[in-house]
Amino acid sequence: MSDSNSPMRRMPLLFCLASAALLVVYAVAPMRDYFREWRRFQKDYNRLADEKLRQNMPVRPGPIGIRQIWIRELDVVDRCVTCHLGVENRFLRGAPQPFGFHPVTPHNTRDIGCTICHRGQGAATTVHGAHGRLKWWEDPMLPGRYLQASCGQCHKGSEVPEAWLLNDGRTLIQAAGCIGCHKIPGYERRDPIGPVLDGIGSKVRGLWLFRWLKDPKSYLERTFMPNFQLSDEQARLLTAFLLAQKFAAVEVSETTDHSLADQGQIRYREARCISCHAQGGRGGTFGPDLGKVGGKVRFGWLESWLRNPKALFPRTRMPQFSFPDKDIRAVVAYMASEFADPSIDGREDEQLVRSLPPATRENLAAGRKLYQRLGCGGCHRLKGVEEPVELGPDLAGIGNKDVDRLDFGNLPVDRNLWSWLFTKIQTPRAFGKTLKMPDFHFSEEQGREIVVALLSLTDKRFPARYLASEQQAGPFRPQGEFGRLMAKYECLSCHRIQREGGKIAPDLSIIGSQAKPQWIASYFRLPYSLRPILTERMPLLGMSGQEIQTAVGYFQTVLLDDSIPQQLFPRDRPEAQEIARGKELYFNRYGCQACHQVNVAGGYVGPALDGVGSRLFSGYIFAYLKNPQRFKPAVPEPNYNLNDSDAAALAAYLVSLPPAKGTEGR
Amino acid sequence: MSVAELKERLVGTQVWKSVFRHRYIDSNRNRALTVFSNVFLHIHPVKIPEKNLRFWHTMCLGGLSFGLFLVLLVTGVLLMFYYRPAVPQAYRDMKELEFVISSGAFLRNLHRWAAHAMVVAVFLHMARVFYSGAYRPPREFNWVVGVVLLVLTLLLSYTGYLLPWDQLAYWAITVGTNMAEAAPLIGPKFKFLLLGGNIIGENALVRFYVLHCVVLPLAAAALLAVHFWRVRKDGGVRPL
Repeated sequence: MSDSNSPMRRMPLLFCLASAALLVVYAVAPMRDYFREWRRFQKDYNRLADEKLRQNMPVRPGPIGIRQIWIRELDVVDRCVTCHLGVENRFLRGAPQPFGFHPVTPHNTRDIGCTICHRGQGAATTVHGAHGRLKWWEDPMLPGRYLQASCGQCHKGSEVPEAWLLNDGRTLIQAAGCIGCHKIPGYERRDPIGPVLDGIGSKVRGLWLFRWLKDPKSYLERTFMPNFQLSDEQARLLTAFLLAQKFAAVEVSETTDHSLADQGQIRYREARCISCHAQGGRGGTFGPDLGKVGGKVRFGWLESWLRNPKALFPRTRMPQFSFPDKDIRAVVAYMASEFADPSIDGREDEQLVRSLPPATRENLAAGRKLYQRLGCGGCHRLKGVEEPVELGPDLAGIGNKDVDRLDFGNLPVDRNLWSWLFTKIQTPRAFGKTLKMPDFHFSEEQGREIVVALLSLTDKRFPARYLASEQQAGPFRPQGEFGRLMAKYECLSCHRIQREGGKIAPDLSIIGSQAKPQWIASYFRLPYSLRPILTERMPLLGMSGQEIQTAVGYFQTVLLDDSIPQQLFPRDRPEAQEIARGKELYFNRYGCQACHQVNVAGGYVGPALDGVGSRLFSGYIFAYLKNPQRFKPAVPEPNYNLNDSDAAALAAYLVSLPPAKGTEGR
Repeated sequence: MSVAELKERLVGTQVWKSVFRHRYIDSNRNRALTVFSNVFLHIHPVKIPEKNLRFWHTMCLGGLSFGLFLVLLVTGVLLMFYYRPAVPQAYRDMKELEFVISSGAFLRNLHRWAAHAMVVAVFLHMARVFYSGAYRPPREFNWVVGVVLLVLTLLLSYTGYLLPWDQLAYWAITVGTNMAEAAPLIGPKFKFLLLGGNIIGENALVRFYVLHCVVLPLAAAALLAVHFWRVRKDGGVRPL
């Protein structure tokens, strides 16, 4: 070749080098391909298995190879078990990861795989890839503290006993009124979440309202009313607007006759108001805390309210007490003196009301506009202000929203969905000052529960047979006289009947098969606590004889379980030898006295059993002894798997017990 | 029987002679005959003046492009064994290649990098031809063929983009087909034709797959033959 500088001269050398490089690549690539991480893990596992085998534990080493769970229906190919080899072997409980035993859950990994619950990348066979903490993998593994969210993907409506965080989170979402602004699948907005505000101006004092709007928690720690971070000006405008909403029928009076206070106190106690209303944090949590209510409401309103709460707020859960007018005035007098709020001072109140913008048409319109802009109508209802549209975004599919679609601002928050949600719930305006979501001041624990519930709202679809179906029983809505009675006394605020109602008092679904009518009637007349260690909660409602008869009659004809016989023994009188055998079983065989009292002797975990035969049907006692959890799933009473004859003997002994001394009249 | 005898016998058989029609006589005529009568060799000229081989004439860019094309052909065929152009499977098959199939990731990476390199090489090749004025007569037709080959290379690259069926693929094709739609008059119809519908779905995937694996490679192969043929016919790569 003529040109000695031509690169062509060096071509053979270049060719040699390139060939060598290619050879290296062809050697390295298959080697890297062969010696993958999972191979090392499987070898480690086999070593561990050998060791366990030497300790006589059934842990077998296996052949080296990729393993996977394939579920065609769910489109699941999870290769997690390639490295997590011990998930099904309980002898590997506590073994070093990735070989540990999976805690026992209601579902088998063979049925639903791994990634349905844990997320991550099931197809991957590398540690990094499988756990899904890659830049472009949209579904990284959920941290353990949020794992319960996955249950909610199939258990859409029903409670999951094993997923308490999910249940609590869902309850919180419902209670805090998230659906006031957000559309959330599975939650329906039926009733207003907060109080109806019609006539609010007749109800509360100006200063209280102003302070409430500025910071609701300062008055009531456990309120779900969020803090909208209003400026003083905005709060004044809104206060003026709300104060202008008056009830024509309510007398705006702020005076009361203090001499009646002592008598009022007796009535207040008798009615057991404290069962639902706490006083400064002590007492029931069902109604609002009344500790400082004297500074909040106007006494004229309080009188009308006690006379008939439903006339002012048709959907209240407060029962209507049948007090005479004199007593009502007395209770108001008592409450005015007992529950005064030292921080609300009459002069200051007047001053504030004077400083409010005058109730001109423009100001009211401006107030209404602010009311609408803040989305108050999401939770409250106010006549004359049209129903609001949902202000917040639809939360369908929030549970697996791409992290790239979230705006993190420039906050030092981990770039993942759950951190974003948690931050958003704790400090709703953290990601931008112009955001509208108000501050609920959730505790950290509540925040996590809500995040769990939100993370369950994924847009993954599952075949119908995987979805937990809920038995669709119609809601319990008794009609007629009993229906009216139940509405008046709000029984379902506390009691539950056929999946409907509260949970703080016993379930009454089969009360007619459980308790004897005479006893129920006497209990309505004078409620007392069945268990010595529980506080008395059933209020004295002051029902008339006619009403008691209606209720008891309904119980005995409708709220029954036909599988339970009423009378176990002929004429409900067991024979003496049966009673004796039962007594023997009670004290010696089963040791029931450890928890129950008979004639002031015994433990006090369970209720005293004196005179239980006059309270409960013998047939129910029998059925209950056979399987207590059938009637009360969470009851601590042990299930002894009694045979019929033992259960009958025990029932015989129990119904023979006379009422405790001094209580025969009950 | 000696080796020489054995060889003589083998070369004398009908089978041998039916394949290799010329013996190893080192004469100009025989060399020319050997090249002419072989479909693979006849792409090359029988004789090349030494000055034609200068590196700076071509910088080997055309040859590199063709080499990459061959690499893509081989790896592409291998990938076709694993890949199914259907919506639930396509992305999963990527994952299988990455995580389970022996040397799957290597195969896919080779294909991908070779594809990128080919686009670069073809572009540089065109630039070299342009700057060295190699498009001038009598090579004007081959320049046109080359431009078409460049377009084919880009189209191959583009149609391959959709096949992994990931977000990048989806949006790249969204952008690309929207650009096609902006063409006057035929734009919307052309987009519809390309996607087999109005959205990027199963039809689009199948169309892009067929274009990528059958139509465009065949077209490129045919034009490559023309391209090489014209290089020879137009006097090799020497400067005019």
